Amino acid sequence: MDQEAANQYAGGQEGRLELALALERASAGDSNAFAELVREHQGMVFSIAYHYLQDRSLAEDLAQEVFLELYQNLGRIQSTAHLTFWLRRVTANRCIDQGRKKLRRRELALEESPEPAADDPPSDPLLLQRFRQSLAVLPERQRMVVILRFQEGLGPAEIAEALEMPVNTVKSTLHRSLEELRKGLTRKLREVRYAFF
Amino acid sequence: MNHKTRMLRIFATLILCCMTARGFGQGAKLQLDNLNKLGDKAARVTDVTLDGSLLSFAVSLIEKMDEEGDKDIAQLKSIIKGLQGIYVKSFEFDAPGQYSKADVEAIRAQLAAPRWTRIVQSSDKHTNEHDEIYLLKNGEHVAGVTILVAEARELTVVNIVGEVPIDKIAALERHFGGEKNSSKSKHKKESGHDDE
Amino acid sequence: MHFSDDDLRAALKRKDPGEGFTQRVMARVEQAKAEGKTQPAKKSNGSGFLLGWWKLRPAWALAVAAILLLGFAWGGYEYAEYRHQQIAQQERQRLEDLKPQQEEAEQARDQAILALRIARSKLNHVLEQAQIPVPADKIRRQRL
Repeated sequence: MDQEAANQYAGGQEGRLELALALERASAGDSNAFAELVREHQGMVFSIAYHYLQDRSLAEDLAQEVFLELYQNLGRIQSTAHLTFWLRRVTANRCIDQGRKKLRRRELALEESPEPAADDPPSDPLLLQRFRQSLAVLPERQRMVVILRFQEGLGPAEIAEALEMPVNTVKSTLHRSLEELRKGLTRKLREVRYAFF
Repeated sequence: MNHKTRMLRIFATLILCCMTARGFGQGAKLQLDNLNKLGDKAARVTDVTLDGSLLSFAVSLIEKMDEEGDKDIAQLKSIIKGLQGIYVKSFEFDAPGQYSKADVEAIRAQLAAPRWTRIVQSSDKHTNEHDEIYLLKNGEHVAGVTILVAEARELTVVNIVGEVPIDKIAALERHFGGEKNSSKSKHKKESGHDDE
Repeated sequence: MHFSDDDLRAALKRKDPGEGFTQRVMARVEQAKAEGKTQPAKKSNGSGFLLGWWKLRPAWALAVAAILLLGFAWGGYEYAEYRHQQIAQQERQRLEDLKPQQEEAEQARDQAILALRIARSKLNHVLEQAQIPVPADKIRRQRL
């Protein structure tokens, strides 16, 4: 292991330890510790909500509610890994419930609010936008499966656990979702072509 | 004829009938005990008496023998299942003249017609050898076989009771039964099978 | 239209909620606390043992049930082992009792085979002496 990797590993270990201590303290009622947990996980929670709901303000509201619920349930969290799992599951379930309530299976217009800041600007903003639109029209569970898979890098078993679905269903759902995304993107690009020609 | 004489005749007839009936039933099995005295003089004795439960044991074990690779085991099984008794008395002597003609005649007397039929006879005056094969028939079926070999230095009687397939017995190969069938016969001076 | 998994990962990359998100969350937490809507679910520090125990009833019940189950399973296993040994012992005894009978049967089998070998031998001898074709030769010739 070279020095950089070693440092990264050591840093990672240290980070995990700090997080575990923060969890312990937060469970005991330490607000600063809880804030630390929020900072650590806000990106994940917000992103799941944002990619799902495709609405920044809705996503932030939802994320805040998730952390509020976490505050009320800190005593049940057993470890940092459990915390991550718990946050993903609660966020996913809230997103799906929210989506059902608002019946948001509409296609988004090109004039939607701009993307939140990301570290790397998208290489093909048009493709990205088309993709988001295609994602938005996927059924609730399919959409969430895609997000957990490609945003969080979860495997089918982890997704199955988070969404309380059978593993085989997750696999077939993912397959179906990608098919539909491809179809959706092809259709969108044809429309653009026709618009120009 | 007075009353007493008549009663005696009836009684005698009854006894005779009973004896005959008994003789008829026991006809296949020969009485070979008179030959036992030859055991003292013989160098080698083979004495086999198998019937009833002992024969049943033998049959059941033979039935379980593995036939693979040995056709004679299958033949053996088909031979033995119809048998009711196997009796062998075989005496080998160091010198001729160790048994008498009377010993042999006592056996032959039990093989009289009409029940027993001598099917093969072979005599050789030079070697003083008399060999015979008798069959006991019950209708169309063979109910018993007796092989009598009377030679200068050997006297052998083989008496098999039951449905005896002679051709199958004769067709068995020399080596049938394999190594595990070593002799258990009574012997005086040496161990081994009575085999050629 | 083809896009790769990397394209998907890029499209779904994590976003930051922006400046002040944490403060907003903490503000909501404090607001909820003030309104009495929420209390942090603290982990037990050992006080209120009885209350804690009472709350852990399901866990205790599960633990007791698990112990009982294990006990039954172990007892069942031990009994099965005991029975198995008993049966094995009985079987050994039975085989021991049958041994003389088995030996007798084996002797009888050997005797029967010996007798038939002698019968074969003498039968063929007599037939040869009488110059009658031996059945074994006939069968051998037929095979050829």
